Amino acid sequence: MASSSSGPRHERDVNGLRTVAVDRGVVGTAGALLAAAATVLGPFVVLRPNRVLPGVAVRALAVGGGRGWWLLGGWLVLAALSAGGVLAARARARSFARWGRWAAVARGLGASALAAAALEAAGARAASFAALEGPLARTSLGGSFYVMLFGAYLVLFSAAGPGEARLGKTVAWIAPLVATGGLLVSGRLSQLAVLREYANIREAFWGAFGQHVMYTAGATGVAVVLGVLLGVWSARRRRAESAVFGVLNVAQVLPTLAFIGLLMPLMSWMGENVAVARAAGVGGIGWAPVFVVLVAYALYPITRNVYSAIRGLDSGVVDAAKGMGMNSRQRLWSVELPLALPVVLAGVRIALVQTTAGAIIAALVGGGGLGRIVFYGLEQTAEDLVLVGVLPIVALGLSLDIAVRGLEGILASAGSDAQDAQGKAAA
Amino acid sequence: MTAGVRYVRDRIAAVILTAVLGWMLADPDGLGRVLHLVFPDERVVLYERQTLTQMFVDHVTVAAAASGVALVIGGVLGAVLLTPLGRRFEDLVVTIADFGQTFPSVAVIALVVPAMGYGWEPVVLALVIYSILPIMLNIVAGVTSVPYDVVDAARGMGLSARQRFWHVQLPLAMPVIMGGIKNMLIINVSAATLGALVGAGGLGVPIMAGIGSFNNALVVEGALPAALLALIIDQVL
Repeated sequence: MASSSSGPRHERDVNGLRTVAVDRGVVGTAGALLAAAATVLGPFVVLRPNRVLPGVAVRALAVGGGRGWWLLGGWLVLAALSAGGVLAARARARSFARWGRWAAVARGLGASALAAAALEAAGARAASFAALEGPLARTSLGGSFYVMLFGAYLVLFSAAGPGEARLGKTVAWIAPLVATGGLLVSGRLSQLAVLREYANIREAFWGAFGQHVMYTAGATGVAVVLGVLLGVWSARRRRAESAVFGVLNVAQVLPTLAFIGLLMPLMSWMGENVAVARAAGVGGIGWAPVFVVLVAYALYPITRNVYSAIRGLDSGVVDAAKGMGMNSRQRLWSVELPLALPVVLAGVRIALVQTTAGAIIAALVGGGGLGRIVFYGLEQTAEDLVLVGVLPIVALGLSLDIAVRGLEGILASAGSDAQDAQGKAAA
Repeated sequence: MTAGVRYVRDRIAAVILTAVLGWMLADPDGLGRVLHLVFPDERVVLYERQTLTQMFVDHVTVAAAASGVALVIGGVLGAVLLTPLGRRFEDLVVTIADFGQTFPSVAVIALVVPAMGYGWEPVVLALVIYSILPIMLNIVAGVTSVPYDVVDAARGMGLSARQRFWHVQLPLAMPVIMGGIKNMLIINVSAATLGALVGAGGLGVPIMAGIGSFNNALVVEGALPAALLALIIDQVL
């Protein structure tokens, strides 16, 4: 799959910058207009006296307290601001660059504030409904709420997409997090169905969350150790290469549930006949088959990246290390692996995201994790309970993705600085 | 190993895998005897309420329907993304697709079911949603991976933009596009096993029944054909 392309926008000429600014403005305008339409049309929240009864849909304009009208006005202002940015970028090639950055910051702040206001409006409606109907009442977020959120995302993207100024990016990432966190802490959202379901299972939730993190960390950890070994081995031996990737490819292709299913007889045999395995709790049901499958899936991106990073090294670098009298092991530890690190990290990142999503399956074979909540919610056809399981998985995957991407960026720039320094020293 | 040897080896593997799968479907009694040999303690070794063939057909239908719809929608959207106007919004689509990757396919099914009810429809819808973006991006990646020099040479030969696209860029992009289609098929065969959770049938049915009754023979009855199907797709395409 293609990875995100953060082209060197800043190296382009003013015209290129202007086109990007126009495109971004168009995305921002479209997003704000979409969100504005979502305040007028469609179910913003769905009110149910309890989980089972059919719900009543409420439009955003009708949530009460005039909140819907404020939202509509806010989104229209933001749309006008974005559209103004488009016109300005078309008209004034040079000076827009100076204040275009501030316009991006304003768009980012505005979209975050409006998304938070939408959440608050839904929370307020939930609170008044709960006051009326009692503790069984369920106020779910409706389709047009999610459409509005997507609109807000488009506006944020227009302020913080690849190549935008760092200030705009920082604001667009931090503002929504701060706003959502603040609302959650303030308790204004506590009557929304997702949070009511969470409150009912708070302890089980954190237990499941811990198990999920253990799957992600444990499986990726084992896969990093094995993947580096296999990657280095196959980079150095042609025969190893085709065997290693042949096996890893088969593992990659097997359907998750079928893979687990094929391991179950093996694992239950081990649990019954191998003392060490029994002591570790290995069995056909439980964590063991899932863990093996997650490691097998995570091995592929890590091994492939180790392999191609070492293979792709400049032969001059390796020759220089040989010329300095380094033996094969010294070269590996002090030259090849450090230089390969950014690429290896990209593999680890893919493995982390994949494992976080994949560990949901564990619950199907009694292995716990957040999947338990998802499947429990599915049995009850309680969408909000499903969300209690799904949202943390997505949040965990995204945070790991962003964190490791950041680390890759730091390492890559450190690497190029070191090369620059070397270049200067040589001159 | 040379490419030729690898090709022959893959074809032989595909034939063997297909033969095993065909035997499993055609000879339930033989399959039952083999499973009895491997799992002597189990009284029931084959799922009793449906034949393996029925479940296999259900499985293939769900996966194929979802793949077909996703291919059409993804193809059209990919073409839109290739137009000069669409190209300007490529990074937006890529960012959204990256976000989509953090979403487990089970989660999509679990979120669609409360809205649509049980059955095969929510599974197909979830798989379509999940498949469109990768298909789209592979089309764009394939076409943009064609070297500029080649396109330029075609222009020099007097080919129009349309001719360049149909006769030069698209054929050269086919390996990447086919790779994307293959990935989608494998993912959909995998995700269709989860259809059993929401009443869509398929090979997940005996797996889930086996897990529920601690009967590994049933688990293998569903898991083996699903694994073979994915491996055959991987070898053949």
